[in-house]
Amino acid sequence: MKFAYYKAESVQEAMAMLGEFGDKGKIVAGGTDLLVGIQHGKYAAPEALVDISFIDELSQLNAQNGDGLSIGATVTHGAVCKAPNIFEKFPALVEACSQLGSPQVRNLATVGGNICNAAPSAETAPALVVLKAMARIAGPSGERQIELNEFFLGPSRTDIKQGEMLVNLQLSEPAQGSGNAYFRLSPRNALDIAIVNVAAYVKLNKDYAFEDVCICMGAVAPTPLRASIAEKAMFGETFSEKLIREAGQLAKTHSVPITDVRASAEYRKEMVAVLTERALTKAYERAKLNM
Amino acid sequence: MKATVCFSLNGEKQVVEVDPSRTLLDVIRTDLSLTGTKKGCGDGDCGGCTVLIDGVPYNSCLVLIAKVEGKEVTTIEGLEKNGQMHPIQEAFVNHGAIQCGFCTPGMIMSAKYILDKNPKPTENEIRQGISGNLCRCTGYQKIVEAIGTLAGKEV
Repeated sequence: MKFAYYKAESVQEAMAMLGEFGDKGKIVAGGTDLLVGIQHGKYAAPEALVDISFIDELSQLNAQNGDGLSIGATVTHGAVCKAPNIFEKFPALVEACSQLGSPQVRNLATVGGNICNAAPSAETAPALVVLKAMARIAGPSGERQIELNEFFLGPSRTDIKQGEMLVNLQLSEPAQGSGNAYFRLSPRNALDIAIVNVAAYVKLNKDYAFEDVCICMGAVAPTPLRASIAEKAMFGETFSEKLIREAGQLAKTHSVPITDVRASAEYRKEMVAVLTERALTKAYERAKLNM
Repeated sequence: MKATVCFSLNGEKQVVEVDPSRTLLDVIRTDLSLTGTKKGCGDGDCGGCTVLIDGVPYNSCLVLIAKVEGKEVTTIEGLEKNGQMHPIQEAFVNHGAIQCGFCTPGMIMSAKYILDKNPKPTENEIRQGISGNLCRCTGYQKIVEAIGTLAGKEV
């Protein structure tokens, strides 16, 4: 492992460095995936790494009073887990962050990195998608925003173009009457990635009917996948075990998993139904407490 | 390319001039000759290389050396005082929480963090706290018991 290493002190400086190094440079924050990937030849060794973890602005985690949550690009999973008041409104995010890797990895690995790696099984991706995160991206010609749902293009591929970088993720305040939850299946509780993971967000109207439903499945498609058919089927309905089971079956039908070392495609399909039911049920229970 | 990195290691100031593509683990073992911290997988999976940086556990095999500029790093060698074992080390010895010993330095650094953060951890909190440390002798039960005996004690 051999590369030049530069600490960027500001987003502007990082952008300038990225511009200078072109495709020979790469951003590093936590490095938990990048360094291992370089060592194992998964990524071509870059000539230069630009470390953005010393940029103050990017390490900010702000739960603005009544105005959502802003997660800087280098906020670690550990920081999200330890911050007070985040679980109350964004339990799906904390449930995802607290299950990534191990305590040591969570102290180093960043949520922004988890998103930019774009692994199909990325721990935080389904949670951030159902929480309708907006990604703020800086580039040579200024900043732009994109919904996280549109951000993932394939395994290890995102909408971030060369010369651009993620600046932060912005979550809006969850609506009254809404709830969210995240579940993952893995053979071990620590140090393994998910066989399947699912996050759900539901919003109930005053008659307890589903007014907004968002389900996102991980590790069952090349990118995190919205179970949009299941979402539509639930709209306007009230909670019943039958409805939740149907939603799970629709999610299963919608999913397109592969067989790999962790699980067969068939098993993933069965499990995505189960996790969808659990995530919806938990999100519904939380929504009822938030009417 | 060389970088100068200043940090505190077990309370002593260190200034190293090193290739910045090297890891903290590599530098403390090779350049600073503190071999208590073990290299297991080198991928952040096993926890053998766990050290505390500003009191928080990290896999030192994943930490680029330049990241510890200005930080306080504590390794297993930093725990004993005046030739006396640290209470966590004593507890591990007394409870047979050491078999081959390879995971022990990392386990003890994770235990230090668990007890620093919460002087009275539950069994579940201890198990969660060491979930990033693998013991391939599978001696987890005695490790959990050893840490448990320190609950409520000065460590």
